[in-house]
Amino acid sequence: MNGGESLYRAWLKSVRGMTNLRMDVLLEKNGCAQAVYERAKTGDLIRSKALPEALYPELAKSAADGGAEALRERLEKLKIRVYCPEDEAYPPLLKEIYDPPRVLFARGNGELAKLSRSIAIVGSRNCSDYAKSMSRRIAKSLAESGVTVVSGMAFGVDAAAHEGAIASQEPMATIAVLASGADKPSPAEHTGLYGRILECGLVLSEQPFGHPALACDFPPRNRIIAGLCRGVFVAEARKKSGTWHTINFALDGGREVFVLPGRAEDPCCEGSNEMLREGAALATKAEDILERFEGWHKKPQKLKETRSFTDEEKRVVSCLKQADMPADDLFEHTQLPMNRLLSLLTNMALQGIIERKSCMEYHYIMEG
Amino acid sequence: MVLESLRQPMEDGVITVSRANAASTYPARFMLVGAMNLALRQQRRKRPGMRLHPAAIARYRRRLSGPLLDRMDIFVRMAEVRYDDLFDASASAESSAAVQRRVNDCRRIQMERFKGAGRYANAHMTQKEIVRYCRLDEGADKLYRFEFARRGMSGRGNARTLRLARTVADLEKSPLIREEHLAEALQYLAADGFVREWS
Repeated sequence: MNGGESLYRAWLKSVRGMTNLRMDVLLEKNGCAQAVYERAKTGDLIRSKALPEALYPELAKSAADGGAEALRERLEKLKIRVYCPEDEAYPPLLKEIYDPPRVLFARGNGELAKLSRSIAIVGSRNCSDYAKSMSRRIAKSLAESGVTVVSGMAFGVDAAAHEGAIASQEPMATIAVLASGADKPSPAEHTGLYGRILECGLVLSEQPFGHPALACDFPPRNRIIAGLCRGVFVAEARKKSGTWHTINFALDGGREVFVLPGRAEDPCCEGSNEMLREGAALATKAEDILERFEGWHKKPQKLKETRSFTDEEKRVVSCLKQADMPADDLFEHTQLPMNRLLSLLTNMALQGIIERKSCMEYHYIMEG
Repeated sequence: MVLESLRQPMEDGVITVSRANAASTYPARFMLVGAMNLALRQQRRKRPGMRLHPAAIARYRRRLSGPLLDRMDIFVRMAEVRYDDLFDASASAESSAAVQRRVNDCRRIQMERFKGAGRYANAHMTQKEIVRYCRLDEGADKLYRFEFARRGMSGRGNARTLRLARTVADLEKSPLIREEHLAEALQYLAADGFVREWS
Protein backbone atom coordinates (compact mmCIF):
# COMPACT_ATOMS: atom_id res chain seq x y z
CA MET A 1 0.00 0.00 0.00
CA ASN A 2 2.92 2.24 0.51
CA GLY A 3 4.77 0.93 -2.46
CA GLY A 4 3.54 1.42 -5.94
CA GLU A 5 1.09 4.00 -7.07
CA SER A 6 0.18 5.46 -3.66
CA LEU A 7 3.79 6.35 -2.98
CA TYR A 8 4.18 8.16 -6.28
CA ARG A 9 0.88 9.92 -5.77
CA ALA A 10 2.17 11.12 -2.41
CA TRP A 11 5.35 12.30 -4.07
CA LEU A 12 3.39 14.10 -6.75
CA LYS A 13 1.26 15.85 -4.15
CA SER A 14 4.33 17.16 -2.38
CA VAL A 15 5.76 18.89 -5.45
CA ARG A 16 5.68 22.64 -5.11
CA GLY A 17 2.74 24.23 -6.87
CA MET A 18 0.77 21.01 -7.14
CA THR A 19 -3.02 21.11 -6.82
CA ASN A 20 -5.66 18.42 -7.22
CA LEU A 21 -6.68 19.64 -10.65
CA ARG A 22 -3.13 19.84 -11.91
CA MET A 23 -2.53 16.36 -10.60
CA ASP A 24 -5.53 15.11 -12.55
CA VAL A 25 -4.22 16.64 -15.77
CA LEU A 26 -0.76 15.12 -15.32
CA LEU A 27 -2.20 11.71 -14.52
CA GLU A 28 -4.47 11.82 -17.51
CA LYS A 29 -1.69 12.72 -19.86
CA ASN A 30 0.86 10.30 -18.47
CA GLY A 31 -1.18 7.37 -17.24
CA CYS A 32 -0.20 7.09 -13.61
CA ALA A 33 1.87 8.84 -10.99
CA GLN A 34 4.73 6.40 -11.30
CA ALA A 35 4.94 7.22 -14.99
CA VAL A 36 4.99 10.91 -14.16
CA TYR A 37 7.89 10.28 -11.80
CA GLU A 38 9.91 8.22 -14.26
CA ARG A 39 9.31 10.63 -17.10
CA ALA A 40 10.08 13.68 -15.01
CA LYS A 41 13.43 12.10 -14.27
CA THR A 42 14.26 11.47 -17.91
CA GLY A 43 12.64 14.62 -19.20
CA ASP A 44 9.97 12.88 -21.29
CA LEU A 45 7.04 14.19 -19.34
CA ILE A 46 3.97 14.63 -21.53
CA ARG A 47 2.95 18.22 -21.01
CA SER A 48 -0.31 20.06 -21.17
CA LYS A 49 -1.29 23.60 -21.98
CA ALA A 50 -3.47 23.57 -18.89
CA LEU A 51 -0.45 23.46 -16.59
CA PRO A 52 1.75 26.44 -15.69
CA GLU A 53 5.26 26.39 -17.11
CA ALA A 54 6.82 26.76 -13.68
CA LEU A 55 5.49 23.38 -12.65
CA TYR A 56 7.73 21.33 -14.94
CA PRO A 57 11.10 22.36 -13.53
CA GLU A 58 9.69 21.70 -10.04
CA LEU A 59 8.68 18.22 -11.08
CA ALA A 60 12.05 17.56 -12.66
CA LYS A 61 13.93 18.83 -9.65
CA SER A 62 11.87 16.87 -7.18
CA ALA A 63 12.18 13.67 -9.21
CA ALA A 64 15.91 14.12 -9.74
CA ASP A 65 16.49 14.49 -6.00
CA GLY A 66 15.33 10.92 -5.54
CA GLY A 67 12.14 12.36 -4.16
CA ALA A 68 10.04 9.22 -4.10
CA GLU A 69 12.60 7.08 -2.29
CA ALA A 70 13.25 9.69 0.36
CA LEU A 71 9.52 10.01 0.78
CA ARG A 72 9.07 6.28 1.26
CA GLU A 73 11.70 6.29 3.98
CA ARG A 74 10.12 9.18 5.81
CA LEU A 75 6.70 7.60 5.55
CA GLU A 76 8.03 4.43 7.09
CA LYS A 77 9.88 6.25 9.80
CA LEU A 78 6.81 8.25 10.81
CA LYS A 79 4.56 5.22 10.28
CA ILE A 80 2.32 7.11 7.90
CA ARG A 81 0.28 5.23 5.32
CA VAL A 82 -0.85 6.66 2.02
CA TYR A 83 -4.13 5.93 0.28
CA CYS A 84 -5.56 6.94 -3.06
CA PRO A 85 -9.10 6.53 -4.33
CA GLU A 86 -8.23 3.34 -6.19
CA ASP A 87 -7.19 1.56 -2.99
CA GLU A 88 -9.64 -0.83 -1.37
CA ALA A 89 -9.12 0.74 2.02
CA TYR A 90 -10.07 4.22 0.79
CA PRO A 91 -13.35 5.09 2.50
CA PRO A 92 -16.23 4.59 0.05
CA LEU A 93 -18.16 7.54 1.44
CA LEU A 94 -15.21 9.80 0.73
CA LYS A 95 -14.93 8.52 -2.82
CA GLU A 96 -18.46 9.69 -3.50
CA ILE A 97 -17.91 13.38 -2.92
CA TYR A 98 -17.47 15.83 -5.74
CA ASP A 99 -13.73 16.39 -5.28
CA PRO A 100 -12.26 13.54 -3.24
CA PRO A 101 -8.69 13.84 -1.97
CA ARG A 102 -6.36 12.34 -4.58
CA VAL A 103 -3.99 11.40 -1.75
CA LEU A 104 -4.84 10.66 1.86
CA PHE A 105 -2.13 10.39 4.53
CA ALA A 106 -3.05 8.36 7.59
CA ARG A 107 -1.29 7.93 10.91
CA GLY A 108 -2.29 6.03 14.03
CA ASN A 109 -3.34 2.67 15.39
CA GLY A 110 -6.70 2.62 13.68
CA GLU A 111 -7.28 1.00 10.32
CA LEU A 112 -8.95 3.03 7.64
CA ALA A 113 -10.36 -0.10 6.06
CA LYS A 114 -12.27 -0.83 9.24
CA LEU A 115 -14.16 2.45 9.20
CA SER A 116 -17.82 1.65 9.06
CA ARG A 117 -20.09 3.99 11.03
CA SER A 118 -18.98 7.57 11.30
CA ILE A 119 -20.46 10.85 12.45
CA ALA A 120 -18.74 14.22 12.34
CA ILE A 121 -18.96 16.58 15.30
CA VAL A 122 -18.23 20.18 14.37
CA GLY A 123 -18.70 23.65 15.81
CA SER A 124 -17.06 26.92 16.75
CA ARG A 125 -13.64 27.19 18.32
CA ASN A 126 -14.84 30.11 20.40
CA CYS A 127 -17.73 28.20 21.87
CA SER A 128 -19.64 28.12 25.13
CA ASP A 129 -18.90 25.63 27.89
CA TYR A 130 -22.29 24.11 27.22
CA ALA A 131 -21.30 23.27 23.64
CA LYS A 132 -18.07 21.70 24.84
CA SER A 133 -19.81 19.60 27.47
CA MET A 134 -22.46 18.41 25.07
CA SER A 135 -19.91 17.60 22.37
CA ARG A 136 -17.94 15.52 24.80
CA ARG A 137 -20.99 13.76 26.14
CA ILE A 138 -22.54 12.96 22.77
CA ALA A 139 -19.19 11.92 21.30
CA LYS A 140 -18.67 9.46 24.15
CA SER A 141 -22.17 8.09 23.72
CA LEU A 142 -21.74 7.67 19.97
CA ALA A 143 -18.37 6.00 20.37
CA GLU A 144 -19.82 3.60 22.93
CA SER A 145 -22.32 2.54 20.29
CA GLY A 146 -19.60 1.70 17.83
CA VAL A 147 -19.62 4.97 15.88
CA THR A 148 -16.35 6.67 14.92
CA VAL A 149 -16.37 10.35 15.80
CA VAL A 150 -14.72 12.51 13.14
CA SER A 151 -13.57 16.06 13.75
CA GLY A 152 -10.81 18.58 13.12
CA MET A 153 -8.85 18.67 16.41
CA ALA A 154 -9.37 22.42 16.63
CA PHE A 155 -10.01 24.35 19.83
CA GLY A 156 -13.46 24.22 21.28
CA VAL A 157 -16.00 21.73 19.96
CA ASP A 158 -13.56 19.56 17.98
CA ALA A 159 -11.25 18.90 20.92
CA ALA A 160 -14.17 18.20 23.24
CA ALA A 161 -15.59 15.70 20.74
CA HIS A 162 -12.27 13.87 20.40
CA GLU A 163 -11.88 13.74 24.19
CA GLY A 164 -15.37 12.35 24.62
CA ALA A 165 -14.77 9.65 22.02
CA ILE A 166 -11.43 8.69 23.54
CA ALA A 167 -13.08 8.42 26.95
CA SER A 168 -15.33 5.65 25.63
CA GLN A 169 -12.23 3.44 25.35
CA GLU A 170 -13.54 1.87 22.18
CA PRO A 171 -11.19 1.00 19.32
CA MET A 172 -11.37 3.33 16.31
CA ALA A 173 -13.20 5.79 18.52
CA THR A 174 -12.13 8.90 16.68
CA ILE A 175 -10.53 10.31 13.55
CA ALA A 176 -8.97 13.74 13.32
CA VAL A 177 -8.66 15.37 9.91
CA LEU A 178 -6.01 18.07 9.91
CA ALA A 179 -5.52 21.10 7.71
CA SER A 180 -1.80 20.71 8.27
CA GLY A 181 0.28 17.67 7.30
CA ALA A 182 -0.53 14.42 9.12
CA ASP A 183 2.77 14.60 10.99
CA LYS A 184 2.16 18.09 12.35
CA PRO A 185 -0.39 18.52 15.11
CA SER A 186 -2.31 21.70 14.57
CA PRO A 187 -2.90 23.63 16.73
CA ALA A 188 0.39 22.92 18.50
CA GLU A 189 -1.37 23.16 21.85
CA HIS A 190 -3.17 19.93 21.02
CA THR A 191 -0.02 17.87 20.67
CA GLY A 192 -1.06 15.78 23.67
CA LEU A 193 -4.50 15.17 22.22
CA TYR A 194 -2.90 14.29 18.90
CA GLY A 195 -0.87 11.59 20.62
CA ARG A 196 -3.95 10.11 22.24
CA ILE A 197 -5.89 10.14 18.98
CA LEU A 198 -3.04 8.19 17.35
CA GLU A 199 -3.45 5.55 20.02
CA CYS A 200 -7.14 4.90 19.62
CA GLY A 201 -7.91 6.09 16.12
CA LEU A 202 -6.46 7.90 13.15
CA VAL A 203 -5.10 11.24 12.09
CA LEU A 204 -5.74 11.99 8.43
CA SER A 205 -4.63 14.70 6.11
CA GLU A 206 -4.63 15.55 2.44
CA GLN A 207 -1.56 17.74 2.83
CA PRO A 208 2.06 16.65 2.50
CA PHE A 209 4.42 16.47 5.49
CA GLY A 210 5.23 19.49 7.51
CA HIS A 211 2.61 21.52 5.71
CA PRO A 212 1.52 24.29 8.09
CA ALA A 213 -2.19 24.90 8.40
CA LEU A 214 -3.05 28.06 6.48
CA ALA A 215 -6.43 29.73 6.61
CA CYS A 216 -7.22 28.58 3.07
CA ASP A 217 -6.64 24.95 4.03
CA PHE A 218 -9.57 24.71 6.39
CA PRO A 219 -12.51 24.65 3.99
CA PRO A 220 -10.96 21.78 1.96
CA ARG A 221 -10.29 19.95 5.20
CA ASN A 222 -13.90 20.42 6.24
CA ARG A 223 -15.05 18.77 3.03
CA ILE A 224 -13.10 15.68 4.05
CA ILE A 225 -14.67 15.69 7.49
CA ALA A 226 -18.14 15.84 5.99
CA GLY A 227 -17.16 13.43 3.24
CA LEU A 228 -16.12 10.69 5.64
CA CYS A 229 -19.42 10.57 7.48
CA ARG A 230 -23.05 9.63 7.06
CA GLY A 231 -24.02 12.61 9.17
CA VAL A 232 -22.68 15.81 10.70
CA PHE A 233 -23.59 17.02 14.19
CA VAL A 234 -23.26 20.75 14.85
CA ALA A 235 -22.78 21.57 18.52
CA GLU A 236 -22.70 25.32 18.11
CA ALA A 237 -22.06 27.87 15.39
CA ARG A 238 -22.14 31.62 15.13
CA LYS A 239 -23.78 33.55 12.36
CA LYS A 240 -20.61 33.71 10.30
CA SER A 241 -18.92 30.50 11.39
CA GLY A 242 -16.67 28.29 9.29
CA THR A 243 -19.02 25.50 10.27
CA TRP A 244 -21.39 26.65 7.52
CA HIS A 245 -18.80 25.41 4.99
CA THR A 246 -18.86 21.99 6.52
CA ILE A 247 -22.65 21.91 6.49
CA ASN A 248 -22.78 22.91 2.84
CA PHE A 249 -20.39 20.12 1.97
CA ALA A 250 -22.54 17.71 3.91
CA LEU A 251 -25.71 18.82 2.15
CA ASP A 252 -24.03 18.70 -1.26
CA GLY A 253 -23.00 15.16 -0.50
CA GLY A 254 -26.42 14.10 0.66
CA ARG A 255 -25.33 13.67 4.26
CA GLU A 256 -27.58 14.20 7.28
CA VAL A 257 -27.23 17.31 9.39
CA PHE A 258 -28.02 17.34 13.11
CA VAL A 259 -27.90 20.44 15.25
CA LEU A 260 -27.90 21.10 18.98
CA PRO A 261 -30.36 23.85 19.86
CA GLY A 262 -28.91 26.83 21.70
CA ARG A 263 -30.21 29.63 23.92
CA ALA A 264 -32.33 32.20 22.15
CA GLU A 265 -30.27 35.36 22.60
CA ASP A 266 -26.83 33.85 22.66
CA PRO A 267 -24.69 34.98 19.70
CA CYS A 268 -22.64 31.80 20.14
CA CYS A 269 -25.40 29.71 18.63
CA GLU A 270 -27.04 32.16 16.24
CA GLY A 271 -25.73 30.15 13.33
CA SER A 272 -26.68 26.73 14.64
CA ASN A 273 -30.19 27.89 15.54
CA GLU A 274 -30.50 29.30 12.03
CA MET A 275 -29.59 25.88 10.66
CA LEU A 276 -32.46 24.43 12.66
CA ARG A 277 -34.75 27.02 11.18
CA GLU A 278 -33.64 25.96 7.74
CA GLY A 279 -34.66 22.42 8.43
CA ALA A 280 -31.75 20.59 10.03
CA ALA A 281 -32.68 17.79 12.41
CA LEU A 282 -32.65 18.63 16.09
CA ALA A 283 -30.48 16.45 18.29
CA THR A 284 -29.80 16.67 22.00
CA LYS A 285 -28.58 13.15 22.57
CA ALA A 286 -26.77 10.39 20.72
CA GLU A 287 -30.01 8.44 20.22
CA ASP A 288 -31.41 11.27 18.11
CA ILE A 289 -28.57 10.65 15.68
CA LEU A 290 -28.39 6.88 15.90
CA GLU A 291 -32.06 6.27 15.22
CA ARG A 292 -31.78 7.95 11.82
CA PHE A 293 -29.60 5.19 10.48
CA GLU A 294 -30.66 1.65 9.81
CA GLY A 295 -29.20 -0.77 12.30
CA TRP A 296 -27.22 1.70 14.43
CA HIS A 297 -28.56 0.74 17.82
CA LYS A 298 -27.40 2.26 21.02
CA LYS A 299 -25.63 -0.21 23.27
CA PRO A 300 -27.46 -0.61 26.56
CA GLN A 301 -25.81 1.67 29.04
CA LYS A 302 -24.32 0.29 32.21
CA LEU A 303 -26.56 1.38 35.04
CA LYS A 304 -24.81 4.36 36.56
CA GLU A 305 -25.39 4.64 40.26
CA THR A 306 -26.47 8.19 40.76
CA ARG A 307 -24.75 9.82 43.67
CA SER A 308 -26.78 11.72 46.15
CA PHE A 309 -25.31 15.07 47.00
CA THR A 310 -25.07 16.62 50.43
CA ASP A 311 -26.86 19.90 50.92
CA GLU A 312 -23.69 21.88 50.59
CA GLU A 313 -22.71 20.03 47.44
CA LYS A 314 -26.17 20.68 46.02
CA ARG A 315 -25.72 24.40 46.49
CA VAL A 316 -22.43 24.37 44.62
CA VAL A 317 -23.76 22.16 41.84
CA SER A 318 -26.85 24.28 41.26
CA CYS A 319 -24.61 27.33 40.80
CA LEU A 320 -22.25 25.58 38.45
CA LYS A 321 -25.10 24.20 36.39
CA GLN A 322 -25.85 27.78 35.36
CA ALA A 323 -22.30 28.64 34.37
CA ASP A 324 -18.69 28.03 35.25
CA MET A 325 -17.50 30.42 37.91
CA PRO A 326 -14.51 31.14 40.17
CA ALA A 327 -14.46 30.55 43.92
CA ASP A 328 -15.39 34.13 44.76
CA ASP A 329 -18.63 33.93 42.82
CA LEU A 330 -19.46 30.58 44.38
CA PHE A 331 -18.86 32.12 47.78
CA GLU A 332 -21.32 34.87 46.99
CA HIS A 333 -24.00 32.55 45.72
CA THR A 334 -23.75 29.78 48.28
CA GLN A 335 -22.85 31.92 51.29
CA LEU A 336 -20.72 29.09 52.63
CA PRO A 337 -17.73 30.21 54.70
CA MET A 338 -14.74 30.52 52.40
CA ASN A 339 -12.53 27.91 54.03
CA ARG A 340 -15.40 25.43 54.11
CA LEU A 341 -16.13 26.15 50.46
CA LEU A 342 -12.54 25.63 49.40
CA SER A 343 -12.15 22.29 51.07
CA LEU A 344 -15.55 21.23 49.74
CA LEU A 345 -14.38 22.09 46.22
CA THR A 346 -11.28 19.95 46.65
CA ASN A 347 -13.39 17.03 47.73
CA MET A 348 -15.89 17.40 44.93
CA ALA A 349 -13.04 17.58 42.44
CA LEU A 350 -11.65 14.41 43.95
CA GLN A 351 -14.92 12.62 43.34
CA GLY A 352 -15.06 13.81 39.78
CA ILE A 353 -18.18 15.90 40.29
CA ILE A 354 -16.47 19.13 39.32
CA GLU A 355 -13.14 20.20 37.89
CA ARG A 356 -11.08 23.36 38.11
CA LYS A 357 -10.12 24.87 34.79
CA SER A 358 -6.81 26.55 34.11
CA CYS A 359 -8.46 29.96 34.44
CA MET A 360 -9.41 29.02 38.01
CA GLU A 361 -13.10 28.63 37.30
CA TYR A 362 -14.97 25.57 38.46
CA HIS A 363 -16.93 23.42 36.06
CA TYR A 364 -19.66 20.90 36.75
CA ILE A 365 -19.02 17.62 34.95
CA MET A 366 -22.26 16.31 33.56
CA GLU A 367 -22.94 12.61 33.71
CA GLY A 368 -23.33 10.48 30.65
CA MET B 1 13.23 38.69 31.86
CA VAL B 2 13.26 40.89 34.91
CA LEU B 3 10.77 38.52 36.51
CA GLU B 4 12.97 35.53 35.84
CA SER B 5 15.88 37.05 37.72
CA LEU B 6 13.70 36.89 40.81
CA ARG B 7 13.89 33.12 40.77
CA GLN B 8 17.06 32.92 42.84
CA PRO B 9 16.04 35.30 45.65
CA MET B 10 12.57 33.79 45.81
CA GLU B 11 14.06 30.39 46.37
CA ASP B 12 17.19 31.07 48.39
CA GLY B 13 16.57 34.45 49.97
CA VAL B 14 19.81 35.82 48.54
CA ILE B 15 20.78 37.42 45.28
CA THR B 16 24.12 37.21 43.54
CA VAL B 17 25.20 40.13 41.40
CA SER B 18 28.08 39.47 39.02
CA ARG B 19 30.12 42.10 37.33
CA ALA B 20 33.31 41.83 35.29
CA ASN B 21 35.73 41.60 38.17
CA ALA B 22 33.64 40.47 41.11
CA ALA B 23 30.51 38.73 42.24
CA SER B 24 28.68 39.69 45.43
CA THR B 25 25.89 37.98 47.25
CA TYR B 26 23.36 39.99 49.22
CA PRO B 27 20.51 38.97 51.45
CA ALA B 28 17.17 39.30 49.71
CA ARG B 29 14.22 38.13 51.78
CA PHE B 30 10.91 39.51 50.68
CA MET B 31 7.30 38.74 50.18
CA LEU B 32 6.29 38.94 46.55
CA VAL B 33 2.74 39.86 45.62
CA GLY B 34 2.00 39.58 41.94
CA ALA B 35 -1.03 40.46 39.91
CA MET B 36 -1.81 39.34 36.41
CA ASN B 37 -4.72 39.43 34.04
CA LEU B 38 -5.95 36.03 32.92
CA ALA B 39 -5.30 37.17 29.39
CA LEU B 40 -4.71 40.31 27.38
CA ARG B 41 -7.64 42.53 26.47
CA GLN B 42 -9.79 41.09 29.18
CA GLN B 43 -13.41 42.01 28.65
CA ARG B 44 -14.51 44.48 31.28
CA ARG B 45 -18.14 43.51 31.13
CA LYS B 46 -19.34 39.97 30.88
CA ARG B 47 -20.86 39.87 27.43
CA PRO B 48 -22.23 36.51 26.51
CA GLY B 49 -20.34 34.93 23.68
CA MET B 50 -17.32 37.23 23.91
CA ARG B 51 -14.50 34.82 24.40
CA LEU B 52 -10.82 35.09 23.82
CA HIS B 53 -8.97 32.90 21.40
CA PRO B 54 -7.22 30.08 23.26
CA ALA B 55 -4.00 30.60 21.33
CA ALA B 56 -3.90 34.25 22.37
CA ILE B 57 -4.43 33.28 25.98
CA ALA B 58 -1.67 30.69 25.89
CA ARG B 59 0.67 33.19 24.29
CA TYR B 60 0.05 35.71 27.05
CA ARG B 61 0.45 33.23 29.87
CA ARG B 62 3.63 31.78 28.47
CA ARG B 63 5.35 34.90 29.70
CA LEU B 64 5.51 33.28 33.13
CA SER B 65 7.95 30.41 33.00
CA GLY B 66 7.27 27.10 34.70
CA PRO B 67 10.06 27.54 37.27
CA LEU B 68 8.73 30.98 38.17
CA LEU B 69 5.18 29.70 38.64
CA ASP B 70 6.58 26.87 40.72
CA ARG B 71 7.95 29.36 43.22
CA MET B 72 4.62 31.07 43.78
CA ASP B 73 2.94 29.76 46.89
CA ILE B 74 -0.60 31.02 46.62
CA PHE B 75 -2.83 31.69 43.63
CA VAL B 76 -6.08 33.54 44.09
CA ARG B 77 -8.51 34.43 41.40
CA MET B 78 -9.90 37.92 41.93
CA ALA B 79 -13.46 38.69 41.03
CA GLU B 80 -14.31 41.64 38.83
CA VAL B 81 -15.05 44.84 40.69
CA ARG B 82 -18.75 45.53 40.66
CA TYR B 83 -20.16 49.01 41.04
CA ASP B 84 -22.33 48.08 44.00
CA ASP B 85 -19.40 46.67 45.90
CA LEU B 86 -17.53 49.93 45.72
CA PHE B 87 -20.37 51.89 47.28
CA ASP B 88 -21.79 49.28 49.59
CA ALA B 89 -22.11 50.92 52.96
CA SER B 90 -23.12 47.76 54.79
CA ALA B 91 -20.36 46.17 56.84
CA SER B 92 -18.43 43.28 55.32
CA ALA B 93 -18.62 39.82 56.86
CA GLU B 94 -15.87 40.39 59.39
CA SER B 95 -14.32 43.51 60.83
CA SER B 96 -10.65 44.13 60.18
CA ALA B 97 -10.06 43.94 63.90
CA ALA B 98 -11.43 40.42 64.04
CA VAL B 99 -9.26 39.34 61.12
CA GLN B 100 -6.22 40.96 62.68
CA ARG B 101 -6.86 39.11 65.92
CA ARG B 102 -6.96 35.82 64.07
CA VAL B 103 -3.77 36.57 62.17
CA ASN B 104 -1.97 37.59 65.34
CA ASP B 105 -3.04 34.43 67.14
CA CYS B 106 -1.72 32.41 64.25
CA ARG B 107 1.52 34.36 64.26
CA ARG B 108 1.96 33.72 67.94
CA ILE B 109 1.62 29.97 67.44
CA GLN B 110 4.33 30.06 64.81
CA MET B 111 6.68 32.20 66.86
CA GLU B 112 6.27 29.77 69.71
CA ARG B 113 6.96 26.87 67.42
CA PHE B 114 10.22 28.26 66.11
CA LYS B 115 11.40 29.84 69.36
CA GLY B 116 15.16 29.70 69.52
CA ALA B 117 15.55 28.66 65.91
CA GLY B 118 15.82 32.22 64.66
CA ARG B 119 12.73 31.95 62.46
CA TYR B 120 9.22 33.17 62.96
CA ALA B 121 7.02 31.84 60.19
CA ASN B 122 5.92 28.60 58.61
CA ALA B 123 7.14 29.92 55.29
CA HIS B 124 10.69 29.60 56.52
CA MET B 125 10.44 25.97 57.56
CA THR B 126 13.27 23.72 56.53
CA GLN B 127 12.61 20.27 55.18
CA LYS B 128 13.36 18.74 58.56
CA GLU B 129 10.95 21.07 60.26
CA ILE B 130 8.27 20.26 57.72
CA VAL B 131 8.57 16.59 58.53
CA ARG B 132 8.43 17.35 62.25
CA TYR B 133 5.66 19.91 62.43
CA CYS B 134 3.41 19.16 59.49
CA ARG B 135 1.75 16.00 60.65
CA LEU B 136 -1.34 14.97 58.75
CA ASP B 137 -4.27 13.17 60.28
CA GLU B 138 -5.59 10.04 58.62
CA GLY B 139 -8.05 11.75 56.32
CA ALA B 140 -5.51 14.37 55.29
CA ASP B 141 -2.90 11.73 54.61
CA LYS B 142 -5.21 9.82 52.30
CA LEU B 143 -6.17 12.97 50.44
CA TYR B 144 -2.57 14.06 50.12
CA ARG B 145 -1.38 10.77 48.71
CA PHE B 146 -3.98 10.97 46.00
CA GLU B 147 -3.38 14.60 45.07
CA PHE B 148 0.38 14.17 45.22
CA ALA B 149 0.28 11.44 42.62
CA ARG B 150 -2.35 13.12 40.49
CA ARG B 151 -0.46 16.39 40.25
CA GLY B 152 2.94 14.80 39.96
CA MET B 153 4.24 17.16 42.64
CA SER B 154 7.85 18.16 42.87
CA GLY B 155 9.80 18.43 46.11
CA ARG B 156 9.27 22.16 46.03
CA GLY B 157 5.56 21.68 45.45
CA ASN B 158 5.37 19.32 48.38
CA ALA B 159 7.13 21.73 50.71
CA ARG B 160 4.93 24.57 49.62
CA THR B 161 1.69 22.65 50.07
CA LEU B 162 2.57 21.43 53.54
CA ARG B 163 3.72 24.83 54.77
CA LEU B 164 0.48 26.30 53.52
CA ALA B 165 -1.60 23.57 55.11
CA ARG B 166 0.27 24.09 58.38
CA THR B 167 -0.70 27.76 58.38
CA VAL B 168 -4.34 26.94 57.61
CA ALA B 169 -4.34 24.51 60.53
CA ASP B 170 -2.72 27.16 62.76
CA LEU B 171 -5.50 29.58 61.89
CA GLU B 172 -7.93 26.99 63.20
CA LYS B 173 -5.65 26.39 66.20
CA SER B 174 -5.34 22.71 65.31
CA PRO B 175 -2.16 20.84 66.25
CA LEU B 176 -2.63 18.24 63.52
CA ILE B 177 -3.28 19.11 59.91
CA ARG B 178 -6.77 17.80 59.23
CA GLU B 179 -8.33 16.92 55.91
CA GLU B 180 -10.22 20.19 55.54
CA HIS B 181 -7.04 22.19 56.16
CA LEU B 182 -5.20 20.33 53.45
CA ALA B 183 -8.17 20.57 51.12
CA GLU B 184 -8.27 24.32 51.55
CA ALA B 185 -4.51 24.61 50.99
CA LEU B 186 -4.81 22.62 47.77
CA GLN B 187 -7.16 25.22 46.34
CA TYR B 188 -4.47 27.86 46.66
CA LEU B 189 -2.10 26.00 44.41
CA ALA B 190 -1.77 26.97 40.77
CA ALA B 191 -4.35 25.48 38.45
CA ASP B 192 -3.17 22.54 36.37
CA GLY B 193 -2.13 23.59 32.92
CA PHE B 194 -2.32 27.29 33.71
CA VAL B 195 0.03 28.10 30.87
CA ARG B 196 0.02 25.22 28.49
CA GLU B 197 -3.44 23.96 27.86
CA TRP B 198 -6.50 26.09 27.86
CA SER B 199 -9.62 24.17 28.61
